[in-house]
Amino acid sequence: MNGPSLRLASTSPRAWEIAQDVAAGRTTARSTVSEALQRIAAADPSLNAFTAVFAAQALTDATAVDDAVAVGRPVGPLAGVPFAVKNLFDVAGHPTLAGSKIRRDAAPAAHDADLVARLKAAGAILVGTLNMDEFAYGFVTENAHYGVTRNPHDLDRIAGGSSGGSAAAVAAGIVPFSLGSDTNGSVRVPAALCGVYGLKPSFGRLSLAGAFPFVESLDHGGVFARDLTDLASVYDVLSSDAHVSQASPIAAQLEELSSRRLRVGMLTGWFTQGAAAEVLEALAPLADALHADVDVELQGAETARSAAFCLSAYEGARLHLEDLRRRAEAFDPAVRDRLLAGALLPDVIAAQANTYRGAFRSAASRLFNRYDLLLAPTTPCVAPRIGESTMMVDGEAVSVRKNLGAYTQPISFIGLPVLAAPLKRPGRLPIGIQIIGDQGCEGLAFALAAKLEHLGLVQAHPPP
Amino acid sequence: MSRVRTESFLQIDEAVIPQYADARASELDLNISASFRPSVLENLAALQAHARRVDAALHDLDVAPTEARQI
Repeated sequence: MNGPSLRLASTSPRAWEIAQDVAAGRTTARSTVSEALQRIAAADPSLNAFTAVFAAQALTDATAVDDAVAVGRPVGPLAGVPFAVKNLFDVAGHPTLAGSKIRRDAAPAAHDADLVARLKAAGAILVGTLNMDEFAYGFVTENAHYGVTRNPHDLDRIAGGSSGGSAAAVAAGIVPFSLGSDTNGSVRVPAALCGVYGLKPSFGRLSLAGAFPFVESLDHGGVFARDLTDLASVYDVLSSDAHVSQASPIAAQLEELSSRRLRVGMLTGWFTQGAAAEVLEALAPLADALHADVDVELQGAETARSAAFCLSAYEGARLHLEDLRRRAEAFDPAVRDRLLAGALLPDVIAAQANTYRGAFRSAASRLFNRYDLLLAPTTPCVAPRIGESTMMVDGEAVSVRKNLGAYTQPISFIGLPVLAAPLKRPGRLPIGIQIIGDQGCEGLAFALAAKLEHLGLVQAHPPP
Repeated sequence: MSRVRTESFLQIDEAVIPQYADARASELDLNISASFRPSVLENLAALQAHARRVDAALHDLDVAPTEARQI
C-alpha cells in the first residue's frame, strides 16, 4: 500500500531547453526562475527538500542573464537554468550547514564552492540549498535538526540520503538539476529511491573546493537530473577545464554513444545478496536486452564495503573530534553515536582499510579487462517508509540507515565512476541500477544509459 | 589502560568492548554520556566486525603487517 505522491501542476522544463530558449530570447531567465520559486512554495511544505531559498538573489541573477541576452552578450550553456545544491556546498554570504545545527553559527562562506561557481559562470541560477543527513553520514535524510525529506513518489517514504533534498527537488520537478555529494552512495541511493538520474564521476574528477568534507579519501561531487542530456550537459560544465564550456563533449555525443557496442557484465554475489525479489525482477530484462554476461562476480566486494565502513567512521570522527569532545549533544544522535564509535577505532584499522583498497582495485581492474561496464542494483529495496529503522535482508532485520548503501559502498571505495539510472516503471516505486565504469570512463556509462533509454528500459518518470 | 589493550581491538571479546571504549575515550579526552553510551558501543561492535573482515582478507592475501601480527 503506497501513500500519497506529490505531483505538481507544472514541472520544470529540461535544462537544455531552458538554456536554448533563454539564449534565443524565446523566454526569460527571470520568468523561468520565478516559476521555479513558485514550485518551491507549492511543493516544499510537503517535501521538506529546501533548507534555504535565495529568491531575491536568484531573481537578480536571472535579470543579469536577461540583460546579457538583450544586448547580444554571450551567455553560458546553462543560461537561466534554475538549480539548487546540497547544503554542504559553500554559497557566498551564507553559513555552510552540512546538515548540522553546530554550523548554524559558522562564519558565512566568503566564496561559492568551485562547482557552484562553475554553474553560475555557465549562466545557471542558484535558487536554494537542500536538506541532507547531518555531515553526509547516512542514507535516509531523516535529519534531527531540519526534519525528514519526503519522497515525491510516496510522501510516506524517505527520499534516501545523504543528498535526499537534492534528489527530491529534482524528482518533484522543482528544478531540472541539483548538486549532491557521494562518499558511500549519497548520490546513487537517493537517485534510485526518487527515480532520477544521479552521476558520481571518478574520484577526483570534480572539484570539491568549498564543499564541507565527510571522508576526504572517499568524497565525490555529484549531479542529479531527470533528463540524461541535462545530466551530461551539467557534467560537461562541471568537468571542463575551462570554467565555461560552450561545447558539450558528452551531451553532444549522446545519440552517437547510444549505438556503441559495449561488453556488459551483470554483477551478482554481494550485489544481489539480500535484494528484494522486486528489484531482481526489475533488473532481469536488462541482461537480455544488452546480451550481458550474468553471474559476474567482483571478488571482495563485501570486504570492500566493510573497509569503507571503517574508513568512514575513522576519518569522519577525526574531522569532528573537537566538537565531539565539547558538544556531543549538539549532533544528530544517529550521526553522533557512529562518529563517537569511529573516534574510538585505533589508527591501524584505517591503515588496513586503505591497504585493502589496493587489492580490491586490482580485482575490479581484472573485470574491466573483460567488460566495458558493470551493472548492479543501486539499493536492495524500494524506498523504506519514514521512521522505519530496520529492513529485511536475507530474512534478517538490518539497519536501514546503514544498509541502503550495501551495493554502492564497494564501488565508491575505489573511486569508480557510476551513472545511477532509474528503471522505467511508471506508477510504481522507483528502482535504480548502477552503471559502473573503469576509472575515467564516464563517457561509456553515458553511452549505456543512452542505449537503455533507447531500448525503453530506463527513464525518469514523474510521481504518479 | 595500556597501549596493548587499545591496540588489541581486533582480538577483544564483545563483552570487553565497554572497557576498551572507556579506556580509548579517556585517551582521546572524550566524554561519552551514559544516555548514548549503549548506542556507541553497539556501533563500535559493528565496526569491530567490519574491521575483522578486512583483517582476515588481508591475512588471506598475505598482505602484512596486520594488527594481529604487530601485537
